[in-house]
Amino acid sequence: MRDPKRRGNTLIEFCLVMVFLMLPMLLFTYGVGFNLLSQLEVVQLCRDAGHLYVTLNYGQTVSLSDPLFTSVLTQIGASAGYPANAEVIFSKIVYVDSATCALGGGTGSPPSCANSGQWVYEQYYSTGTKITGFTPAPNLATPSGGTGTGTCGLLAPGCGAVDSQGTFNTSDSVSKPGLAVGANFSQLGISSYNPDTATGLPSGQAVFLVQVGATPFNVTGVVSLVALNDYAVF
Amino acid sequence: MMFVYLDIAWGIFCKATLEQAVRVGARYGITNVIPDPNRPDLCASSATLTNCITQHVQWAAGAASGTLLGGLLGGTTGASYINVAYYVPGTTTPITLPNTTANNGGNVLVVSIVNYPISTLVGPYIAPNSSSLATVASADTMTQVVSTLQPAP
Repeated sequence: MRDPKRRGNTLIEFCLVMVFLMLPMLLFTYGVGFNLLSQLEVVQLCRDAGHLYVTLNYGQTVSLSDPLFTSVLTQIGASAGYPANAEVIFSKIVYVDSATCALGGGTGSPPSCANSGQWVYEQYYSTGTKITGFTPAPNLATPSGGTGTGTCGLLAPGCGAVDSQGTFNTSDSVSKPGLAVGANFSQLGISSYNPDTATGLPSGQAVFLVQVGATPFNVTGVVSLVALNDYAVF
Repeated sequence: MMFVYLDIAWGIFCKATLEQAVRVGARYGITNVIPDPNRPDLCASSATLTNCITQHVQWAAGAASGTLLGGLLGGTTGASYINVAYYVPGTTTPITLPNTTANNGGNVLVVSIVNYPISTLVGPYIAPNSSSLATVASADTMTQVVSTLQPAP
């Protein structure tokens, strides 16, 4: 027979287990589950935005600021929070070899430019809402002094003039240090052309990079993420 | 609690499946060819590209290729959630079909599933007829094909 003084123990144990173990587990599953769903949307947005960017860039039928482009991005990325809670960055990056340097006005034999031997931006366009304190992988250096619109040469070292599509002049790309992508580009595993081994990207071939960052679903004290992000290279 | 875990897993599975389905539809659609040479059994009798894209989406969501029944988007009810739209660059209003120029090369194709109800295991017991509505979309640029070979949109 149970001692009357010990009745209620199971109730107390049940409450303690619920509060300190089961409830946090439930909230954690809930938080991770929702973030997983959002991450699916982020990946979808990144892939499709990249496809559109590349095909339309070559076809020149739609510009990045075209209302259709924005409208389609909104349809694809609505569940990921675009445009209010997500940012999409489009970058066109090239390697400055002798031919590219000469194209940008470099002189000498071989032509010499300030950015010779580096990967540089030819275009950098950001749309949506930037997540404070977060740069989507692979954490490339952004063009110094600009966000993709307006004049980009206000801050030293500057990046020259830029149009409404975030496109820089070739002469600026090869000469402005602010347009160099930086060392993190090596994370992508892309190399410039090596004539000895006939490997790497051909001279002048652009790398199209699309990066997406989105606001995560956080549960205070249980799930705490800075951002959901993905990138794709074309 | 087990039901909650199952519901979350089911929701993620459904969303991932729907995402994959619209992606398959869009990637096929931009080839601008009917029937699909890689899936001749799927929509050999389709008269329009839009219809063939819809069948690809249904198939990718688990429907049988012959009957288009089963899966998440089987049958006419499932097909009703699928939306295929064509846009001319510079505009934000989809082209009204039938318009033979809708699938011209360079146009933008958007395949979406709108307000698909993901039924939960627990939901009906808490709130009858409850479900989460999922909307997914995929887009790409139409390929230019020889005009004599371009299918009806």
